[in-house]
Amino acid sequence: MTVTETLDTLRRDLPGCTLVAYGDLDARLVLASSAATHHPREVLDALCLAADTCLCGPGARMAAQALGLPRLTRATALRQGRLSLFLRAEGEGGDALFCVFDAPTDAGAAAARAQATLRDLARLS
Amino acid sequence: MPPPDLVRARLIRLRRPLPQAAGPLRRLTADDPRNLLTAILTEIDETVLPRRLDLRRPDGAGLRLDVAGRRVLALPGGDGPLPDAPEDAARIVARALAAHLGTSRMLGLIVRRLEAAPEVATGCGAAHLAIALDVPAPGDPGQDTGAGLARALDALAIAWVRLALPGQIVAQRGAPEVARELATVSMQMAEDLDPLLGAALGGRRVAGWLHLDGAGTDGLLIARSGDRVTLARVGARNWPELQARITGLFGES
Repeated sequence: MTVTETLDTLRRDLPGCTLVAYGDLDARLVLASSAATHHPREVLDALCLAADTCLCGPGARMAAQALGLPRLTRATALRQGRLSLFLRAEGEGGDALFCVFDAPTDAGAAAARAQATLRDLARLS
Repeated sequence: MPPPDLVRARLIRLRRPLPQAAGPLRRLTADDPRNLLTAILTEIDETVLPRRLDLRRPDGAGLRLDVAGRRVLALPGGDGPLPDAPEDAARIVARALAAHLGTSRMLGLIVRRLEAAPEVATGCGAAHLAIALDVPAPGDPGQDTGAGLARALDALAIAWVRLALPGQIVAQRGAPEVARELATVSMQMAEDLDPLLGAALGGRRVAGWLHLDGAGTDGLLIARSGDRVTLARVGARNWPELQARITGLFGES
């Protein structure tokens, strides 16, 4: 299965999910995505930047320190019914997966499913 | 039977557009220009039938918005029609509103009927405008959300602190040692909270929450409602239930 097919499958498996993107936080780059509708490059870039700020930015580093973690691997955000999930692969690489939901969803279950996909993708890269 | 000329004259008169009925001048006031913007967004959000909102400054200058279906569809007197994308339209309307309002804390509002809504596909609603203006959206429960959040955190978080920006702690509850740590962290993070929440929520004053963790570890919840930011330490076991409660609390789009 290609990366895009993997992302398509993940998006279909996550109820309410409208966008899944796989990226590299070190490069701040979305490498592949799957979406219900076309998303311009700048939207994907903005998503990657938001993920980077939430998981790796100065505030995130302080949050990790306060939690006694070497680094954060998950950020979940909700505003106006829109849930965003940013996951970072364990280990040193910058592999990350971003999911956006426009409908209520079980974020814990979604994160577990997405984390498994991220592990697979990170192993391949 | 009335003479045909009279009937014809009546029919011609009936075909003429009705004069635009103007409502009385109402006064919108707020303690802060940002709250005045939110009050204007509330007017937009409550306008379903085609109406022209004429916003008059005390110096007499006016800004007109053609609104229908709770969306601004046109800016009469502006630089042409609004773009199709609501975000782009909101940016233009927001710029006009902010420029018109300046630092005023009072505006006159006259609402006139429009015969028909301008033929625009989308326009922009209060939610997009709130983001473009960086003010709370109408209907943002604000205080109620804060109270509900406090109840949920009292029940399910290890400890939490609430800040009135910038960096002033107004409430602190839960396990005392953890609450003290959170207070320290909140002070250390003071300058980083805005960029962090801005990245996560898409605007500096947008209500919502961000939860940070190591996937299965204790987490740090950062929630914003109104002008308050709340930081809470949440155990992994309680997070799913807390998430369900605060998701309902912060509402749908």
